Amino acid sequence: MSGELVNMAELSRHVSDGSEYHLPQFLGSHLELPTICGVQLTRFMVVELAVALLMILLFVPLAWKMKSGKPLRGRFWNLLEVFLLYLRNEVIVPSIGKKDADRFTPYLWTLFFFILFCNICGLIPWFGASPTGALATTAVLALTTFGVLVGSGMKKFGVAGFWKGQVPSMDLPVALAIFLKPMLFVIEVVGLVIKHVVLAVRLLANMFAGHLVLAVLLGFIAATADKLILWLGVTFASVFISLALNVLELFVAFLQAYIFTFLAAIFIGMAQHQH
Amino acid sequence: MKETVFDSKPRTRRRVRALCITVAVACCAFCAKVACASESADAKLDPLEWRGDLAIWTAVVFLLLVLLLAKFAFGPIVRALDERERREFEREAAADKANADAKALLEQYRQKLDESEEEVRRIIANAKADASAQASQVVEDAKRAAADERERAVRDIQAATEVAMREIAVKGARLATDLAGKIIQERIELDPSKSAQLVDAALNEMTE
Repeated sequence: MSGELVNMAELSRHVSDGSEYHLPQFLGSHLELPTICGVQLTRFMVVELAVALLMILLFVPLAWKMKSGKPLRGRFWNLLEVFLLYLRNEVIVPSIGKKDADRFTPYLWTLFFFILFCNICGLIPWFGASPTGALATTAVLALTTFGVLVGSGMKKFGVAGFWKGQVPSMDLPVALAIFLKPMLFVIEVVGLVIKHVVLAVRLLANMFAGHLVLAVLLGFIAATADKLILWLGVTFASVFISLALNVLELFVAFLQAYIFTFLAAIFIGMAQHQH
Repeated sequence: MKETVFDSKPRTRRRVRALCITVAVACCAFCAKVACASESADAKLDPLEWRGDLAIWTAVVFLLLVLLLAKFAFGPIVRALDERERREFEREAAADKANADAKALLEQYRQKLDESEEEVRRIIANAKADASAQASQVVEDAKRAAADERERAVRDIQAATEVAMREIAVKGARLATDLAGKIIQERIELDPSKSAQLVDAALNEMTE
């Protein structure tokens, strides 16, 4: 095996973040990203910014079109509306309830499309890997959801009411309640935090693993480059398996965005309707 | 029209497709080989690596995006959807009401139609009854008229018969008288008183 040509560290450059942008060979191999106000821009930052701009460019005109009250024209706008309506009617309203759903719908829509577009960006050649393959991104998304949950819960039930409501109501003798309820409170709060940590780790693991497998499969081609017959067979196999995995990755991109949004909606719904 | 390779025979198309796939695979392989060979090997592969700068960047971008979209996109979209739902409920309620009104109207028309049919049936029955009565009346009148006519004819016949009988009687009597006169003439010549008695007796018999 030609270890000088490929190793895991090199492969990781295509999966993890970096301060340079990979370009097609005819445009030069790399584009170094600038430092702004002492902050080094990275590929993930650029992708996140691009995703944010893309979402603004998509959904602000959609809002203008929908404000007129007339049915949307065009497959693309109808497709976007189908996504929005499905999330609202099948995910957000059943999880949070009709009364409170509209307050959280913009946040959950933003969450879904931000994750989805970040996931899909990892599948576009030369665009950079998915930012959702980095713990910092998924953790911030989970933390934001946790903040929305706690903030909306405390707004509805009051600070004390919200935290008190974390303990299930039980008819316990006073002596037992004094002993048990603090323990239950700690367990419930830790459980709440763990749920959000799992939310972040699930998305991270799915996206990172998918891209890593793709990179490794393509790395096999370079690894067998010095053995012509083996290289041909491995190349065909790698490319076709990578193609199939890319299709799977596309599905996973949608699925993980859906799962993250769905669980976030359920958690927010649980905070709005306590025990 | 100019023919492209994709318009030609399926076998040629398959060959072109196979060639394209081969070229694509070769390009991928070449890119992967060049990319891997040209990069330095100082990158780390740690998915749980915590990047503070990326976290802050993500938080800022995401929260700004939430605020901007809530203000200019998703907020108005939610309101537009609510408004659309309200309009659809109103349309549905109006359609239900119109449907109920139409059904009630249809029921009214059906009742009126039934009543009209009943009225028509009654009118036809009355007309038939009237026509039958009138026909009977006409037949009765005709019978009565025929009977009257016959009675009148009978009476006329009787009267004519009586007249004829009287004339016959008169003529007979006259003939008889003439005959008898001739006979009696001869006898009167013998007894004139007997002559008058015989005439009266003969007249009485004839008139009875």
